[in-house]
Amino acid sequence: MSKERQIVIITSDGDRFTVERKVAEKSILIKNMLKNLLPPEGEEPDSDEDNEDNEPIEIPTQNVRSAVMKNILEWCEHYKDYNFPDDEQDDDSKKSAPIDPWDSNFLNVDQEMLYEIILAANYLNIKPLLNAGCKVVAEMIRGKSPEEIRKTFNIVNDFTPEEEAAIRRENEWAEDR
Amino acid sequence: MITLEGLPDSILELVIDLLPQQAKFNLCLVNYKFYQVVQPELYENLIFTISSIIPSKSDFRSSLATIIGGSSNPLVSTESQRKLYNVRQEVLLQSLSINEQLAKFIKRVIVYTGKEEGVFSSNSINDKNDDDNAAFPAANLKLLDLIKKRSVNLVQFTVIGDTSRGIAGLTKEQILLLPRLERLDITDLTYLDCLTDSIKTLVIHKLTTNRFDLKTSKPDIINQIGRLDSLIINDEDAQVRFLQYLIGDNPKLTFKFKALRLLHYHGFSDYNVISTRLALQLLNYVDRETLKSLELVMGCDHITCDCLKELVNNITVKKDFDLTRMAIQQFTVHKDHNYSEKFDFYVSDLLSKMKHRSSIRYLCISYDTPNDFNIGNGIKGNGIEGNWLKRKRLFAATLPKLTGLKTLVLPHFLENAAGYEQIISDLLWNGCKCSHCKDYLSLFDYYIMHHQYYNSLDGYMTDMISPILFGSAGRVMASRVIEDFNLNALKYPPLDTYWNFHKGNGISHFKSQDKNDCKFNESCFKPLTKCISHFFLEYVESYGSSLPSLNLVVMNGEYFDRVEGKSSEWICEYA
Repeated sequence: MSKERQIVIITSDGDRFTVERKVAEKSILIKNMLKNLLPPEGEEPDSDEDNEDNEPIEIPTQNVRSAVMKNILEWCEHYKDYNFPDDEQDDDSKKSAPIDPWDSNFLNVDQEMLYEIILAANYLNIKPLLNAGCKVVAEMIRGKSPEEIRKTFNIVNDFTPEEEAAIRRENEWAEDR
Repeated sequence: MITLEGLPDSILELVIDLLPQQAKFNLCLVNYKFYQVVQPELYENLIFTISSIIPSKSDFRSSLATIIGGSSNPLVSTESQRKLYNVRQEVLLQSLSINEQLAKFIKRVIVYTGKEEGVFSSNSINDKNDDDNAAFPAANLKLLDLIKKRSVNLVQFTVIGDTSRGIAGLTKEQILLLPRLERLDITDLTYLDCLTDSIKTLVIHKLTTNRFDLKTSKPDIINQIGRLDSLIINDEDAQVRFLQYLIGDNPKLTFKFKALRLLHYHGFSDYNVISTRLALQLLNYVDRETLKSLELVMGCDHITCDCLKELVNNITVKKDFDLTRMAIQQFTVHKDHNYSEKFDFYVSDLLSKMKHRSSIRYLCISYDTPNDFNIGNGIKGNGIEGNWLKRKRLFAATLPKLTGLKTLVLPHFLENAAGYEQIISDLLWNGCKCSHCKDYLSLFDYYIMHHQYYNSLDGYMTDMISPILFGSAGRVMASRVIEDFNLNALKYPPLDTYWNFHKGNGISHFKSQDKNDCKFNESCFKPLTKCISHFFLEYVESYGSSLPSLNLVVMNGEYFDRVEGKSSEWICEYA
């Protein structure tokens, strides 16, 4: 029986993370890459296809730095045995469901790291993590006034008072009363 | 350094998509970048209704649409609600007139004139306002006309509920000018002429005319119907006329529908045998490989008849559909436990016999209950505890067979339970012992002792009973879910509906009491729904323990999400 080939993810700053296949495959991007390089999980590789020295498969991820990848892999490790349904029909209820408490705790990081995780999840195509990250940001926004949002996210108001009043009037029909 | 503002628009759109409308409104005012990204999302899905959206604690359902409604304060008078609703529409009309770009953002419009809708519905609960409602248009016609004219990106324009309140759907001319229209709702079969290539869902409502003179040739119409993903039939008469045209001459064809809704009701005097025959016949024309969602409105009001067996066999044996979503709605004119038990039996039979039942992810079972929740309460009839327990056991035995089920929706569970006086009285007198229920259930007991209702069976006013209290509350809670069709029950945000404890079934005070002394009004409704949610929780937990895959249960508009890792596995969103 041949040994399973190692999967090494290389970050933008050159760090190398050796991971189990099912951890790496939480990323659909990596899963699709591995599809062409490895036999389906659970199947033995053909002997002639078996790489002589069982070289590890290296996957460069140019958009993700080491500190972010560490977090991403922690998330993938946590969910490695969980099958996220890719069923379109489940989307409505999943999209609207509360954030899983573990995800909420996991994503309790500073804003920059949160955005980097979201961007990495988007790049690596890890939809459940992307969705959880977006929910955390949405929770940070909801319940806040425009001024509070600016303060929380360090946003500069580029409206004149007249412009702001005009936009308020334009959308006044949607305001909670 | 990466900031929120610096995230790509595609990611910001995902975030904005999760925001309730007030948060979208506030974000628009933050700066120009956010104004540009948020504006299309704020206008994309519009629902016109007098109610507001129920605020979420932890979920994101309130982000599903933007509501043009009344006040979120339940104590605001009906008149003020209407004024606010009208003013909102006037402002929107102005905005759309001034900034023409805004209309292009609108993709879906729902005008909800549901009978159970909001604080002033026109059903038996709110019978006092019947005449008022008829005179009060469900939406600003000028505004809707402008939207129909300028919103070239419309994919759906739907009127749900009572169509008699002056709101018309799209005209034939308007339909032809909407290149992206995906769903067509019709009340006139001549609109089959307007089936364009973009339309993927055809919804046939109760017909408003008998005209059926089509300009397009039958093969062309059948070809267009063959392109549809979903065929939804909401009315029996329309079903007969439409299906007779479509399959009456036994054509050789197969429809590749992904979703189908049809009616199979066997009523008195067998007047609708043609309809049931056509419904069965249509199933034969549907490709078993493509159909994934099926909604049945079913019932048989002949206690010894087994016509539903043929329906079950057609679905499970003859066609052997592999469904992922299923909705079953009871239809009966009887006020008798035996007919509900018969319905339950066939639902159980259907689900148990489906070979691919483990594929079902979504199940909705909707019960048909009498307005007074009286199926012969207590010793007078069949509404006795043992009968309820029999039905409960049957359900408990069937549900675990759906091993892949994720979402269970029971829109009228409480009204159904209200038919069994002992069960529903237990909720009041022997129910939950938490501090909230301890405080409030005694108050609702006081309410029962100080009110009376009109017993329509016996024809006199009599002491209030718990089935009327909880049944009425259940009906208003159920109206949180916009009644499009049951397969679509969770597509819309839940509405914040209230009951004032005095509408429906002639509820009033005893003559000896001054009605001004009564403190029961809309402000007591949320505490009541919390007590009810505690009653539901016992059922939710039992469903959850028999079905590990289950992660959402919706009972009468109460949403229970399963959250892993919490001491209490299920959280109730709105109680």
